[in-house]
Amino acid sequence: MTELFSGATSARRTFAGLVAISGVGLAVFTTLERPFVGVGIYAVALVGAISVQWVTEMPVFDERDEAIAGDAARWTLTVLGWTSAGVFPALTVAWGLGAFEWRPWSAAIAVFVASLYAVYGLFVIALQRRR
Amino acid sequence: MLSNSQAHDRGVSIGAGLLFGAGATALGVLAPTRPLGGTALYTVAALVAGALSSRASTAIRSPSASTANTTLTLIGVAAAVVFPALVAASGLGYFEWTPLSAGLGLAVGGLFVVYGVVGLADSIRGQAV
Repeated sequence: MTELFSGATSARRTFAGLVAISGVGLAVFTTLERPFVGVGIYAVALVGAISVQWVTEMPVFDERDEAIAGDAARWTLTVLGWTSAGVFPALTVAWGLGAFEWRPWSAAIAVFVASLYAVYGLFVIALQRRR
Repeated sequence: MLSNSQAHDRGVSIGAGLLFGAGATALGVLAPTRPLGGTALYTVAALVAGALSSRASTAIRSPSASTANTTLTLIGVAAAVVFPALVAASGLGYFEWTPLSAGLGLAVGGLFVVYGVVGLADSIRGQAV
């Protein structure tokens, strides 16, 4: 029993590590202007992560992992939401007072955060209706 | 079936959410022309929404895990397809990174770094107990 569990645990760790490598590799090598190296690492690491689940005999993820993922998503959106609710209005005031200048990249982050919570709001409405 | 008070709480929290959303939209729309007016509208809407939602029960106020997870899954899958495709396209000369697209990439990356760190902390805490 303990052996089975440690097997699933190491499979989960390998999976998480490979997913992290795929994202970080893509970002780092894109920044270094080596796009094909980045995409190569991304693809190989993701295929590796998926095959971890295939070669492992037992289920790699259980209900507890689902609960952790849900909890982490909830915390992420809560913390990011409170931060954004304070930071973006403050930046807009600073901009109105001439103390801050919006750049395309900072505007893009603001637009992304707004879209993220628009998607979240739509899901809240859709899932409440279904109940 | 929901009890009356639960249904009332849910109505209040949806109203508070919509009010906050309207304030945030006003901020985004007015920011380019009237930043101070937009922020004032936003602040009023956020304060009223906060006062409203503090009257609803805590169980309904906090974001639900499954909705948060669905949102992040959707954005994660979209990002997992779009960004590698953009990187490959830039390598082939079909796409040029601008500050805007790089800022978007940065925002998505930051979001999933936060998610990953929170998930890792959660699972370590779960194993320790």
